[in-house]
Amino acid sequence: MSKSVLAVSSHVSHGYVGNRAMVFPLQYNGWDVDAINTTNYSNHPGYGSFAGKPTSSELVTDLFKGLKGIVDFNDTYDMVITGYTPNEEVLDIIYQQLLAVLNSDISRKKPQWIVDPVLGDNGRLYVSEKVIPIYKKILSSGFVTLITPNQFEFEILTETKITDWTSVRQAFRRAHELYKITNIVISSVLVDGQMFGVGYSAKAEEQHQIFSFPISQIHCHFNGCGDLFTALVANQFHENKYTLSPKVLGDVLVKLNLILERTYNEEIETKGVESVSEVKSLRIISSRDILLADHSEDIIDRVSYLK
Amino acid sequence: MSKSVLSIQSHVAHGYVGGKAAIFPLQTQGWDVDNINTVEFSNHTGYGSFKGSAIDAKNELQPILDQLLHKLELSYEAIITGYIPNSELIALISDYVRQFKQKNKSTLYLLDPVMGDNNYLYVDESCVEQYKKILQLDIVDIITPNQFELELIVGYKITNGATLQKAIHTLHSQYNIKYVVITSLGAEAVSHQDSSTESEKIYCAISVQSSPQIQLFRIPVIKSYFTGVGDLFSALLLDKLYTNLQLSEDNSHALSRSVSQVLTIMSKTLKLTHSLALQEYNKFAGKSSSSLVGKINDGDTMKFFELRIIQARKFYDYMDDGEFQPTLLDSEHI
Repeated sequence: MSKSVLAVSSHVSHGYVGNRAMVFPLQYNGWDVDAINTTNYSNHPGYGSFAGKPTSSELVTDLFKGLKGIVDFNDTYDMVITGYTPNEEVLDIIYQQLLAVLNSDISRKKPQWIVDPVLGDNGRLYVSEKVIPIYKKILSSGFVTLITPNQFEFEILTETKITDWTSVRQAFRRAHELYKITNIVISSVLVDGQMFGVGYSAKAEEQHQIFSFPISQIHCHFNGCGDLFTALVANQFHENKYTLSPKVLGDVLVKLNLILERTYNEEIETKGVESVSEVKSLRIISSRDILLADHSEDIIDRVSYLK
Repeated sequence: MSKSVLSIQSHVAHGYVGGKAAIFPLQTQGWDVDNINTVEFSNHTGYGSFKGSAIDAKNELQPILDQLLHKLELSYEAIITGYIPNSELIALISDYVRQFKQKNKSTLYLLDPVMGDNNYLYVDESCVEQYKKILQLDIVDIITPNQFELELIVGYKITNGATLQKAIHTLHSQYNIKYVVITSLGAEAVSHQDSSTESEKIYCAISVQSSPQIQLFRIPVIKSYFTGVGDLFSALLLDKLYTNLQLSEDNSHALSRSVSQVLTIMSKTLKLTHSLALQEYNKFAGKSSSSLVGKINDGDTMKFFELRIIQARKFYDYMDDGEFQPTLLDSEHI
């Protein structure tokens, strides 16, 4: 059975961020991926310089219009994933275009809308703050079923600073009050000097669970890591009938860690050095074998539930 | 060992032509594919309606190529170019391919001079002259025109085996191209007669510069309309030829083996595409039909005819001898 997803994120010619980090892993898992590119850059800015342009509002609008002319979004797409957008105008267009086409009747088939609210990392915004209210609007729309923020992004969206498990719980409660989103994954949360991957799933209104896995941290910054994470989560989310679970999160965390390890090892080997603090290009292609195996058994016994 | 290729061709949000038909198969074979999109379209033009625009040469494409070549100082094992919508972009791209090849002499450049098919030109006429200029730069290693594109390049019709041989000879001798693959030829082009008596047959002709003999493969005709077939063919050819050239000293054998493998993969992919299209079309139309012929410019049926690039993943690593045996272009007939 074929499965189809619309991915709206950045394009770079070289390296693996945005759609370049999402499209191939999804395709390799059997997805037909329709891709709208929100940028047309040579490479991501982490290289120190880049060329190219963000996709204009007119072109983004046109691409949506063109697509609407040939496919029925509700019938065609199992999922829509939205990631990096260069400015608030383009993000608002994406919101308007999707809102206009998605079935508002809850009993009818429509795609799962997965949002990676790309705002920044480690206390630093890398988009205009004007993007924030639009993400809040999107999350409140009732169409979004899964979000994949990092800790910083989740703090902004819930207006809750996370320092310990009490504030983690508080942030999820706030997210529920504000947005009523049923599935949330935070790729990495720092509590007492330890990194955790944290998941939240609410099958019914007041019936939710919060679970976490400790992450073995590689002390290195990997560009595109969040985009790859979102793609991996989306695929497993689909496999588990659109419910987030410890098995889903565990599998993704193991895969991601294996890919980062391989990337790291290839990087130091290529450069002939003993360590690096940053890797600009994930080795997604040479890690393709990792994308297919089920790794949840390797980690599932390390899950903790937050009461 | 990782290998990298720069792919410059079209991007469509939906469907499988240009980069969407070429990139994924290359990635599954371990290629890190850097890609520049010459256009950003919602879908290919066969649907009758589409939206989008071409990349701007001076303000967008040139800075990106400059960045890759000079700032990031990238070097590629291979470069592949496909659909480019206008002559200004063709000129710019060829100049940068020349510079990339200057930096790394072993870079293998595959040029698919996408201009048209079946006597129909789907780019501006100025592109024809611009492609001829590229050929004079002595940078093309592999060329994959169809019969119509070959005719545009050499400036005369291929009406029989003699004119075919003359045209291929021109590509080798005048333009110094090592590997020539004419992706589809009518039966008349390989016969000694000018008349077409075997219109149901299509051929693929190949030739290497170092060996004078043209080899022919007969290709099965699948009666329905698919787009992106040429783009997939070129991508697979690049991968197989690159691999086979490392395994064999004999260039002629490497090319013929590669083409046989590519045709085998194409045949499997088209069969899969056809059977899935038929299944889905019957479901859509609520009837069971055993034949399916796509109509160009018909949005309702076109969506069933997209190549199943993703579902065909298991075919791309095929490395056996191939199911296609070449024959020699009969010299008695020329």
